[in-house]
Amino acid sequence: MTHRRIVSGLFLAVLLATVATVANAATPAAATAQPAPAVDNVLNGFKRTGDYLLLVNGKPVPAAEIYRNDRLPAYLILSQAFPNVVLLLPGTMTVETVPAAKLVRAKDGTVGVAADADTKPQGKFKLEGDKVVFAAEGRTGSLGSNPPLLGARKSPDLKNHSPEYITTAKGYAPKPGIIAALKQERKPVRVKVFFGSWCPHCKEHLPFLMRVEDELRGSGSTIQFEYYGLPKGFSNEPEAKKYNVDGVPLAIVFVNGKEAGRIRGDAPWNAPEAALSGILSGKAAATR
Amino acid sequence: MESTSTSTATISGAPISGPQPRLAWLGTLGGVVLGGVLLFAVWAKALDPSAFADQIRLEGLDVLLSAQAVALLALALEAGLGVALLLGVRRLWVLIPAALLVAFFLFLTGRTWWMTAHGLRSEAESCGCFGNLVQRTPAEAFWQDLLLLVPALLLAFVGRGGRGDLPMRFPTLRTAAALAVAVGAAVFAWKAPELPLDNLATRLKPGVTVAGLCTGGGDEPVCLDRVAPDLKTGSHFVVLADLADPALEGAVGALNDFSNSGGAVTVLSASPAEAQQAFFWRFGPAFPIVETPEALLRPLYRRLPRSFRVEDGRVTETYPGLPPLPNAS
Repeated sequence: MTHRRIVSGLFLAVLLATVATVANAATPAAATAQPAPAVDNVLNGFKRTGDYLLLVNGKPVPAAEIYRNDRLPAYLILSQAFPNVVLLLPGTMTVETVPAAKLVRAKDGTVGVAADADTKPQGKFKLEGDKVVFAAEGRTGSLGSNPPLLGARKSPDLKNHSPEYITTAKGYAPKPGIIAALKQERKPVRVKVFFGSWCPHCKEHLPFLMRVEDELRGSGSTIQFEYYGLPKGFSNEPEAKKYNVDGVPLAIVFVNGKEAGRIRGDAPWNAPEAALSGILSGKAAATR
Repeated sequence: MESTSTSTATISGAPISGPQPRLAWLGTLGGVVLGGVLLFAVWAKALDPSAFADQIRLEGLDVLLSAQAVALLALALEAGLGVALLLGVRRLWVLIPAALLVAFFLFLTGRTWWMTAHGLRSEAESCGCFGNLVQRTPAEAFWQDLLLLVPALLLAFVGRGGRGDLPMRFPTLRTAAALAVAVGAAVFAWKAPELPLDNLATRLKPGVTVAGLCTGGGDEPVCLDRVAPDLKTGSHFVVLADLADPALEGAVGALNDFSNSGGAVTVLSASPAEAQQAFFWRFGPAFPIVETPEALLRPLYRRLPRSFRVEDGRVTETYPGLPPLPNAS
């Protein structure tokens, strides 16, 4: 009886493997990755940015994807409000469009334009106050500064507002040993992080801590993270005053509801998991 | 027991003999110290008269004359009094204006300290009476001025007396020397911006580190390595610039070429974010423009643009104007 079951199982496995092989041979495109199209040697390496917000007819289009290339410099705008990709070129102040099908997405999250793409000139953009106003294919849009993210927030809010945080967080590798230790933390720990979405240092360092939070999620760790966005010139902001915040980014670590230490300054922010672990183990002096 | 010394002094070329007061040496010492401090302050401010003029504007002292004119007159007065005191002239025509000047300095530094303590003025806006050469917090400025100037001033009044110290006497040679130095100080301050004295007149000079260029006092100074962290490692050209300066606008192409060929260029500007944004869209710089607090930037230059080279966080060279880029010629 057992012998017959084994034979039947083997037969079934061989049958499934044969079907899969035949199916793959019939649809080669589905089985093997399409060769990535050649990317233009200038229009490449655009990184997602949250610095600007697209406005069409004066209304924000938060779903629009805006990419920046610092080297050129140039901006790419992907939005359903425009049938094709809009390319803005500072310096010459020109607007061009690129067929949407010719946009190439790289694995690292950057985008570029296919080498064989034809760009269509659309005229010049104008600066009106703090807005960049442009017209492309009969539609008018503008880029305005993305308002700062204020008040109590969670990590996804920050990632939605400033997509570059996602890329930086992905690129950060916290020390596995320290993460493993933090996963074992069972004391009630709250990390309150003060930040400014307008602050370049926050853009540089905050994603590291967000990566630590991502690593701890679902591990049973009792460490909770909360974020609080401050405006520029926050010295009179009530929450900043209450917690004596004199610079951002600043993370205040509470253990059992009591402040145990603060993460501040370049060195601790370069490895926030180590700074957090140091505070929790009492090895790092609680700085005020 | 009373000791009276008799000496012969030459004042205005005429020998004057008479008993010297017992503590005359103490008074002379006080005068010399006060004169020395005033002359050092003149030197520090005359190197960068426009920074001094900015301070005059900030204090609202440019009511009757322009800030530049007030700066030159103030430097001349301070220099003249300093030399007179240094040469031992302790007549009332020297001591009374010196006392008024000291009182005025203390009023300014005290008011600034009070204003910063009450949040009415940014701490970094105030440089004290030594111009940009000496970095002091408002509290330090007040207490240092008080301790340096007041005891010396009080001592300068001690031991006056005798025929040689009668009020309103003008010892010809020393008065002439004081006047000459006063005029010289004003002329020097007027011409100083054109002289190659940037390294002497500012805190930015070869050898300093970006971590050592700071503003604000206390536990949390704002330093250049925090404002522009990239400068801590590698080799960079840094340009201090006003974004509205046509010289910078004209140089964007060359700076972009250098940047795109692998060179590192950073522009530090106190222009607000809106102005930086407009500059970016209009001229398309391919190099970073870092918003830098005015209080941090101002002590680093006399005239914009000014540039420097940084190697691993240490300033190795400074240049008036834009940097000599390898491929910019």
